[in-house]
Amino acid sequence: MGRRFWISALAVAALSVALPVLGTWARKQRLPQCALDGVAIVPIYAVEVVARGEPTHRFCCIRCAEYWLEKESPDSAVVNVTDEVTGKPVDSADAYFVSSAVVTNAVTENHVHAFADRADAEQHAAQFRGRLLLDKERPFH
Amino acid sequence: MVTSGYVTLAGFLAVVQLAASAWAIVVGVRSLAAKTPADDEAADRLESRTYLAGLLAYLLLGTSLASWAVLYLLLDSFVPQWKGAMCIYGVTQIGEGSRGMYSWLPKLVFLEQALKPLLILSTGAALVLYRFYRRLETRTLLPRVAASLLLASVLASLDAAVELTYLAIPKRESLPNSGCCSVSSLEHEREPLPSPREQGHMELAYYAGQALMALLVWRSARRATAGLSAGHLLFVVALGALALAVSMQFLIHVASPALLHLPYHHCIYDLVAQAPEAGVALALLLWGTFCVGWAATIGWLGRCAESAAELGGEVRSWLAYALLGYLGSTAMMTLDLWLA
Repeated sequence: MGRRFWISALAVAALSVALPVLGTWARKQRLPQCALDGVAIVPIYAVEVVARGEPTHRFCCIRCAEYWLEKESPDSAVVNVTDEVTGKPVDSADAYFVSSAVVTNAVTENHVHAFADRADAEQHAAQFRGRLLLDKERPFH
Repeated sequence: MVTSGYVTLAGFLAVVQLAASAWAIVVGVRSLAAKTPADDEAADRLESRTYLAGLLAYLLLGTSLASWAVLYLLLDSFVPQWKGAMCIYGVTQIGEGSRGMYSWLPKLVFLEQALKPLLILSTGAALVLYRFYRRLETRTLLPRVAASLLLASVLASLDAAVELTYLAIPKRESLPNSGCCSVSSLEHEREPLPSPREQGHMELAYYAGQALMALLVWRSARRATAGLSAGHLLFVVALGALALAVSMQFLIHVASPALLHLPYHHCIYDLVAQAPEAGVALALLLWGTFCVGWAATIGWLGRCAESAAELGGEVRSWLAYALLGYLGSTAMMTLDLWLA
């Protein structure tokens, strides 16, 4: 084998070690992304799933979180949605959900919105041809 | 309407490629049509024509490499403009289920993605043979060089025509589409994602394929000096193609969800975009596969009485580069998965 081959071999060997190390490091510096599809999370639509013994999983919308819960079915999980008015997290059991014409994420086509206050939920429903989701219609019931 | 600056660049490259390939086809046909030169002057004219064809092949290799990269930059630039597309996969589905010429879009983009690597393989094969012919300085190889350059030129003109057609059709449709891994597309998915057990099988098949190819290429390179039969080379090429197909499945269904930490996200476009080192590993794998193809081309078409002394060394050299590609790709992917 000629000198050119051995130089190429050395370059490939160096790249084979350096690139995975650099790539892995760079991915750890990324901004939060949806644990289901990797989309960047818009803070007011963020959903957090805290399952026992697992790290917190963050999602870009309610549909992604529901899909993930359906697939993973953890023993017990607390789901925190974000109140669209204040941007604060609220337990999904205490939240009000509205399905309206407003799409939160064009990719997932999620129409469901979360609010901490019932009045805000009803106002959103009135403004954007929506309706309050009750009982079994509620996400994460 | 979906458009971007890359449309102009891709269009320019396609026009250059089409013009160069049309010229190369004319040169190739004239070279092949010429009978065995009666005198030295006629033979010199034929050789000069082959040099021109060789230069055109270098130009075609350059444009095809550039247009391959620009194709993905173009598709990526459409992602933010297309409602519901979260990655290149979504863009490749534009026109799916539509009527009229819009329905050609997914087929054209699929054809483009298949033609680009084939074009580089064939142009590279023609150039490898052309360089071998130049080194040997024997006219016996001239018709074979002309035929391989002609084949590459025909493929290049087809590729350019397909690309120009894809660019010319407006990216419109009435039906919504979405990304490969969004919830909406998962709900409509026809084929379920592979189970962890199937993923394990894919991983095993990938490593077995890579190890087998590395071993086969290494052994063939050692034997090349004594000469490799056409049947043996065909066997190596067939296994190389199979190993590439298995590796692609592994990258989509095992490497992508593991490296991106997204268990339901099986997408090679996002893998390359978000883990560029996996793209380098894929490029090394393609390089290994191409080198196997080029070694076989030399082994098949470079065989003649005058080349007996040089043939083994040339085949061996390309097989050694193929080994480098396979080993580098596997090492990079293994370390990446281990660190993930």
